[in-house]
This record gives sequence, C-alpha cells and structure tokens, in this order.
Amino acid sequence: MASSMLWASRAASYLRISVFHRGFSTVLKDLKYADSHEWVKVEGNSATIGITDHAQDHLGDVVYVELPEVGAAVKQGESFGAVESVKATSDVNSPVSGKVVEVNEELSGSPAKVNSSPYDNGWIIKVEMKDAGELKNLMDSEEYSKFCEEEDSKH
Amino acid sequence: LVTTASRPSSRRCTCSRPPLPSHAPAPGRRFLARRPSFRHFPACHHILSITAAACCTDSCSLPTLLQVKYDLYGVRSCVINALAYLAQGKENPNWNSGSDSKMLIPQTKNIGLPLMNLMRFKGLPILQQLHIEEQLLRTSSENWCIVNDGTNDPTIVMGVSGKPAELLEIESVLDDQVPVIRRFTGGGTVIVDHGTVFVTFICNKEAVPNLQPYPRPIMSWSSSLYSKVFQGIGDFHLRENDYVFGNHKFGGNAQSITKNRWIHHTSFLWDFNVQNMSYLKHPKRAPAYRSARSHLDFICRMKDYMPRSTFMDKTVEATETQFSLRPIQLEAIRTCSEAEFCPSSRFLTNEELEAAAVALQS
Repeated sequence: MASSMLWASRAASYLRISVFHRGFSTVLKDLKYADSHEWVKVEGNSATIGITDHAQDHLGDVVYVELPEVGAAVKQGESFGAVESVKATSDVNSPVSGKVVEVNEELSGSPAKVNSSPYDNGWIIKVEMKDAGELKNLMDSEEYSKFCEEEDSKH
Repeated sequence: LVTTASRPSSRRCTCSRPPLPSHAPAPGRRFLARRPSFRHFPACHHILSITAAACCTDSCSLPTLLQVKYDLYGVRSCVINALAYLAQGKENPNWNSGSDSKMLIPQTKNIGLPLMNLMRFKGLPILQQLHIEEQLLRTSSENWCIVNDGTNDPTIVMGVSGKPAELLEIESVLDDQVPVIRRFTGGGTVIVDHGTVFVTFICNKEAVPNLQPYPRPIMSWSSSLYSKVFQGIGDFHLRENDYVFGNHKFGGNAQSITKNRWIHHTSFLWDFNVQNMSYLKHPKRAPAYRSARSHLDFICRMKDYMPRSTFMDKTVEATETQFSLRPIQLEAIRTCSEAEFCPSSRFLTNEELEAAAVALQS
C-alpha cells in the first residue's frame, strides 16, 4: 500500500498534477483538539501533546522536529516548536499552558514517527498543566471532525 | 460620499447664476483625463442638477444630453473613488497626478483586492533580507512582497535543519571563508550572489481566497502566479517544489507557516558562478527528477530565457492581479531591537563549521 501510494505520488509529480488527500482523517475519542490541529491527552495534571492525523497528512513527510527545552513555559495557542516538511517549517502550538516536563527525543532521529503514528509514538511534548480550565477552549473529537470537514470543504 | 452645497449649474445660460466647475472633458477629448477626488467632487450636485433641470421650465436650465452623460461619468467616478477609499483607507491620488486616462482603469481593477506592501531592494545583504522577512512574518499583520535584485557577497544559505557536514564541502568553505547562514525557513541549500533574484510573499492566511495554509497549496498558488510571468517561455512549471524550465531547475523555494500567516520565498538563478557550485555537496534529500545529475547538469540560468528587469516587472504585474500593491520604503518599518523581535536566521561560526568537519571525519 505504501509503495503504491509512493508510486502514485511520484507519477502525479511527473504529470504535474496535485496529489489528492485522503477524504478522512483519524480522530481519536478522549482527546481534546485545538483549531490549529494539535491534540492533547490529559491524565491528571499531565498533558501529552502532538499534531493530528489531519495535520500530518496536509504537511507531508516530516523531516525534522524542532523541540523545546525541558522546563520551558508554554502558553495556550502559542508556538512552542516546529516541524519541517517538504520545504516548509510549520509552527506547532500548545493547546494548554504550563511547563514542559518531557520531550520526545526519538523524533530527533526518527521525525517520520509524526506521520506514521501521530497520536502514539509521534507525541511531541509532555506538559505539567497550569490551568485545567483551559480545556474548555478546546474541541472534542466530534467537534474536531466536523471542523476538519468544514475546513477541507471550503478549499 | 462627500458633497458640497449644490447650486444649480448653468449651461449655456444667460441668467445671473454663476457657473460651477464643470467636469466636462478638455476640448477635443471625449472623457475626463483624471478621475476627480470624491472629496472635491460634488456628486450630489450633478444628481440634483439633472433632476432639477428636468423639472425646470426655463429652457436655459435644460441640460444637454452630452452634459448629462458627463454628469453620469462624474457620479460613477465619485462612487468608484469612494469605494476605493473605503477598501484601501486612502484617497485615490490620481486627481493631482496629472496622469492620463489610462490610470482610471488600473484603479478600477484594484477595488476589492487585498492590500499588499511592496518593498524593492537592489543588492541587500541576504541576512538582512531574512531578518526583515522573519520580523514581518512574526510581528506584522499586513501582506508583503519583497523583491531583492541580487545580494552583495556570495553566501551559502541552508534551511533550518541543514547539517553542514552533509551539505557543504566544509574545507573549501573554510579555506575560502565563504559565509554560511542557517535561515528560519525549511528547504535545501543554495549559494547566492549578485546573480540571484529573490522574491518573497508574506501573507495572512485569508489573503488568498480558498487557499489552505499548508506547504503544497501555497506552493501550487505560487507556481500559478509565476505561470503568468513565464507564459509561453521555456516550458516553465513547478516540479517537485522547484521552478524549472523543462527539467532544469532555476528557482528554489522555501516556506514558514505560523498559526495565521505564511511566507513563501524563492531564490531565482538569473545567473550563477560555476565555481561557487563546488562548495555544495550533492544533497541526500534530492528531488526524484534530479536523477543523480550534478549541480551544473541540474540547474539552468534564467538569463537565457528572460531579461532581469522584465522578470521583476512581470512578477509585480502578476502580483497586481491578486493584490493592490503599495510601495513601501525600508525606513517605514520598525527596526528590530532587543526588547522586540529577535530573528533566528544567523551566520554559522567558523568553530561550528570546524566542529562539523571533525565530527564527519571521526
């Protein structure tokens, strides 16, 4: 499957046509989502953060992840790092405010985990949350699915 | 609309009422040479004069058909100017410009287009260009187009994740003291000099209708803009994120995307020094269409296809089909200070390059 998709992508490039995206993206229940396409998994006061399947699909192959320092402060809606894909760096924004307690060092050697496993091995940072009340500003899985459909249908 | 107190105009009239300024064309011309400013143009006067004259039984007040037509042109011009003012926040300067009637048409076309500031440079150092771009991306809320016609000294510019040991012939770079920059955008490595022309677009995500702020849609949008520039020339197209004539690359692209804005910048090889290419290694991540060709077999010169000034002028013209361009001087934008924004693009030090060379050998 992966090799046929790679062939299709290269054929599209040769024929100079744009590669279509999948008509759907995986969205997991029990996660919360930001409108900038990051997800957060909350366990007590700890939040694990990454980018969604929708985001990784639209960004393309991730070749580099810029990680913050452990101990850095993050703020809801603001950039804490970036991913590089194709020819672009794209900001990754934090869905919650708090302090970075762990970063996924494996992404330094294997940035493609963000594509292959965006909700699991492709997690980017873990944060000690400052204010759990901020979670109400985020979308649940149903709202986020609808948000992605609306966004894709507008373009 | 701004109107002045209206007095009925007298046209070929022998009564004592003084005539008002007429917006009739100059003798021998059919149309107004310049569109009058809506602030100085009593639109309502013309509407009222037509209406009042229609009711007047005095034959000297009856407008001629020609005068009615000029009045209608005047009202139309007034409305257009007012709309342009509302859209752009400034008065159409053509009233005082002394320009000819051709200026009427471009202003009409620009109504409703988003505003974009245009900055043009010649020989601006590439690090300074990158600093300006990053500052505008992160701190401005306006759209920008930057054109830099060449840069001063030959400089190597790597993408944000570039590894010198993999991308550069470090010993030659150190021996010849070629400056190396790591820029804030993604993408590959280039060596730029006075033969390179740079074009940059910095936009809010809503600036281009129906454009999703992701790498491939932005790349596709940019290639459609340059398709207008290179129409009918050299089999131009976008090939795996590069601008090519046929299968020879002449333009490299890079982007950075934030939550609400994006930048897309391109370095165009209008000309290049063959010797400079020897500082660059064949990259590990190369497009498939390169087919393992050496630098010199892979790239081509834009000068073989189009004059330099023609390219820059056509690029501005193509941009004007989507944006209303406003020329801005560098002094008009705030300079960076420590208390404000600090850009991340920087020179790599000799120590960093030497350490990379040592790590490669070990």
